[in-house]
Amino acid sequence: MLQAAALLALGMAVGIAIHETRAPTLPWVGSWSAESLASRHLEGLVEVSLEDATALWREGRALFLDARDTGSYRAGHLPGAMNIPPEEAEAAGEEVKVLVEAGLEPIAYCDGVDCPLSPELARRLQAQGVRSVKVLVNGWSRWRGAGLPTEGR
Amino acid sequence: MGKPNPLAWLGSPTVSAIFRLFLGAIFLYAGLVKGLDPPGFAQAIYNYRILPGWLINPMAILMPWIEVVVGVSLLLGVWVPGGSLLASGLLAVFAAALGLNMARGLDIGCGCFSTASTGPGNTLWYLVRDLGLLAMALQVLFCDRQLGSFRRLLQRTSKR
Repeated sequence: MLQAAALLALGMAVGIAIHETRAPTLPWVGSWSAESLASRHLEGLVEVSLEDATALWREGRALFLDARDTGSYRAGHLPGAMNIPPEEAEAAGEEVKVLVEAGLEPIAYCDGVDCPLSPELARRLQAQGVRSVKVLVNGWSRWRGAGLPTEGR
Repeated sequence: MGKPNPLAWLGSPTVSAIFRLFLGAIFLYAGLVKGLDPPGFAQAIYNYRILPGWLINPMAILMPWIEVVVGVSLLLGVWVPGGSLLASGLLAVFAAALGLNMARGLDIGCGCFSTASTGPGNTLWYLVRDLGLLAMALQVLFCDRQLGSFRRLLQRTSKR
């Protein structure tokens, strides 16, 4: 018991020491409310409004990128959407670039105001050279909420 | 004479040594991966939707290094009762969290061996894996006899 407590204290001491000596990446006190999460996720990224996304889709210029898992994608997705979970961004990068060069506007989306998947997908695609990718926050719910058509089962 | 118990090997110190080294390596690796990406790990903890917001960051900062210390303790065979007790405690807590999320039907990435919060939740598999590790940690806790440990090595060399 005593050894376990000592190891626990040692681990915490190591954690504190490492955290204080490294360049800070995480504050001791963080805000995890939905609003602060959403704004943190979008830092450095461009958000696209539902109106603009809908307009682009009607013009046939939207390339929707569904960042959710395959199961959710199959159950339903935005029309013409590609399924690219963030860890597959590297593999899909070339294909997306080709489509963008053909004139399509890449728009990443997922589900939920504080969902981190589409921002992460957007960042990874940007690292692959797709500079123009934007994020439709809470895309899945808002698209359906607006009564717009979807594909899938 | 009673019949020899075919399962007696389960309690053998050799098995303990094997489990101890295996668990030590796992905890060390898992701890380091998470310790090097506090924001990613914090996001993974958040996704479990269990802890209150103010507890998430401290846990993301400290827990990986507790795992590292446990891993080193088990690998070296130093303070094994404490290390295996703490390992068992951690694994039990993780199992409870996984079980809770299975019951809630939450679909999240594990956050165990990477800080990626993405990917489909395969919660049942993670839970089974965790319980397996917990069983190993308990075996070490109750059956370990310091085979192949650092302390034994020190004792042997100092006796010559």
